[in-house]
Amino acid sequence: MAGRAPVRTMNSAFIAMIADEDTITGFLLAGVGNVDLRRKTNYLIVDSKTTVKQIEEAFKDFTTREDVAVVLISQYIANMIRFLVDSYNKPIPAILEIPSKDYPYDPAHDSVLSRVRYLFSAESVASDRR
Amino acid sequence: MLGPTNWIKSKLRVAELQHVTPLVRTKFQSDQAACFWTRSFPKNPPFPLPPASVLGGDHLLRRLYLGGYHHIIYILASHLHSAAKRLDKMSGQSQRLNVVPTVTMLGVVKARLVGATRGHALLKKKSDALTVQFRQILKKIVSAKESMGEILKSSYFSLTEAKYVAGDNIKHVVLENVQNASLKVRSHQENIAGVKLPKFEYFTDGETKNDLTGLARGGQQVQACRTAYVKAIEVLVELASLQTSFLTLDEAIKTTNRRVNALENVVKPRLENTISYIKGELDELEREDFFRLKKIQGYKKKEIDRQVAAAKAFAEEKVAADIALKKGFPLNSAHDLLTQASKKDEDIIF
Repeated sequence: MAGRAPVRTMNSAFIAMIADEDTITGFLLAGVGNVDLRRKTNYLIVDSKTTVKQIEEAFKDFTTREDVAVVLISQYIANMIRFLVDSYNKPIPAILEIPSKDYPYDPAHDSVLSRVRYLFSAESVASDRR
Repeated sequence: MLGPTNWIKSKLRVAELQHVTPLVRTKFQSDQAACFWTRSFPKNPPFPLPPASVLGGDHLLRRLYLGGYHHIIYILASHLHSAAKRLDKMSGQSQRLNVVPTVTMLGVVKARLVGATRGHALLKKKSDALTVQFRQILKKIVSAKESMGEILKSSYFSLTEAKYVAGDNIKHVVLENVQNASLKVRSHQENIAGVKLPKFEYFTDGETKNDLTGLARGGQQVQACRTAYVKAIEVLVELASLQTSFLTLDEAIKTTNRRVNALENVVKPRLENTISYIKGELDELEREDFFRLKKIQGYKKKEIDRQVAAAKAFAEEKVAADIALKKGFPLNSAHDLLTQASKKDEDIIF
C-alpha cells in the first residue's frame, strides 16, 4: 500500500514506558524493564525535575526504536507532549495512554480514543453504549 | 492533443446532433469550402470557426454563400458552437484515451474495461470486508479501554498494598534490579482481505529477576502486585494490537476507497468514452466505404449504359448502311443530297 510503512514482524520486542515512578515500579516488577549494555533503559521515569524536552526526546527515541512494540505513556505526560502524540500516526509501535495513579483518566484526551469516539458517534453506535 | 477539427468532430459525434450532421454533411470537401466559410463571417467572429466540413462542406456552403444567405451560415455555426460547448460541459472531466480507432484497439480497450470492472467489484468487496472488520475493532477498542481503566486501578491499589507492607524502599530495589526484560512482546501478522494486521502477544522469557524482592516482608503482597501488573500488561498488549489494527485498517480502507472511486469515476468512464469513440469512428468508416461503393457502382452503371447506347447506335448505323448498299446508292450520298437540297431551296418542305 502506498504511503504506509510495511508492517514488520518482531520475534521479541520491548514495551517502553514513560510514566511516573510508581507506575514504572509496578511494570518493572512485572518484568518489563530492560537495560542494555550502554545502560540505556526502555523506560523514562518522569518526576517534577523532568523537563518536557527530556520527555519529547524519550518519546521520539521509543517511537523510532526497532525493538519497541508498544509505548505506554501516562496520560498527564502525554498531555504535556500532546502535539507529538497527536502527530504520531504509525501503527508500530502502538502508543497507549494509560491512566496514572494521581491523575484520573480522561478518555476525551486520548488521541486514538477520540478518533474512535468520533467514528462511533458517526455510526451512532455510541448512543446505546453510553 | 486534438486539433480543432477533430475536437468539434468528436464533440458532435457524441452529440444528439448526430442525426443532424449527416444531413448537413456532404462527402466532398475542398479548400474552397474554407474560403466560402471565412468570407461568410465578420472579421472577428465571436466564437472559433468550426471547419467547413462540419457545417456541410462545399455544396451546402457554396449554395448558401452564392445565394447570399450569409446569416444562415453564421447561425448554423453559432448553433454548432454552443452545442459543442454544452457537450463539453456535459462530458466534463471524462475524456477519452488517445488511441487509434481500429478494431484491434477496440478489443484492447474492451478488455481493459472488463478488467477495470472486475477490479472495481473486487476492490469494493475488499472495502466492505475491511469496513466490517474495522467496526468490530472499534467496538473492541472501546470496551478494552474501559476495562483497562479498571485493571490499572486494581494494579495501582495492589502496588500501594505492597509498598505499605514491604516498605517504601521496595521501589528502589525494583529500580536497581532491572537487567533484561523477562516480559516481552512478539508480533505476528494476520491477513484480513489482503491487509496485514499485526497482532501482539506477550510472553515471558527467562526467569523473573525479582523473585527475592520483599523476601524480608511482604513477599506475598509483592507477588500479588506482580500478577496484577502482568494482567494489566496482558490487557494493554491486547489493546495495543487493537489500536495498531485500527490505524492500519483505517489507512487501508482509505486507500481502497480511493482506488474504488478512481476506477468508478475516472478509469471506467474514460474507457467507455474511448469505446464509443472508436465505435463511432468505425461506423463512420463503414458509412464512407458504403458511400464510395455506391458511387463507384453509379459510375460503372453509367459507363455500361453509355457503351450499350454506343453499340446500339453503331448497329443501327450499320443496318442503315447495309440497306442503302442494297438499294444501290450510299447512305451518305442520300444524306448529302438532302442537305444540299435544303441548302439550295429554303422553301422545300418535307
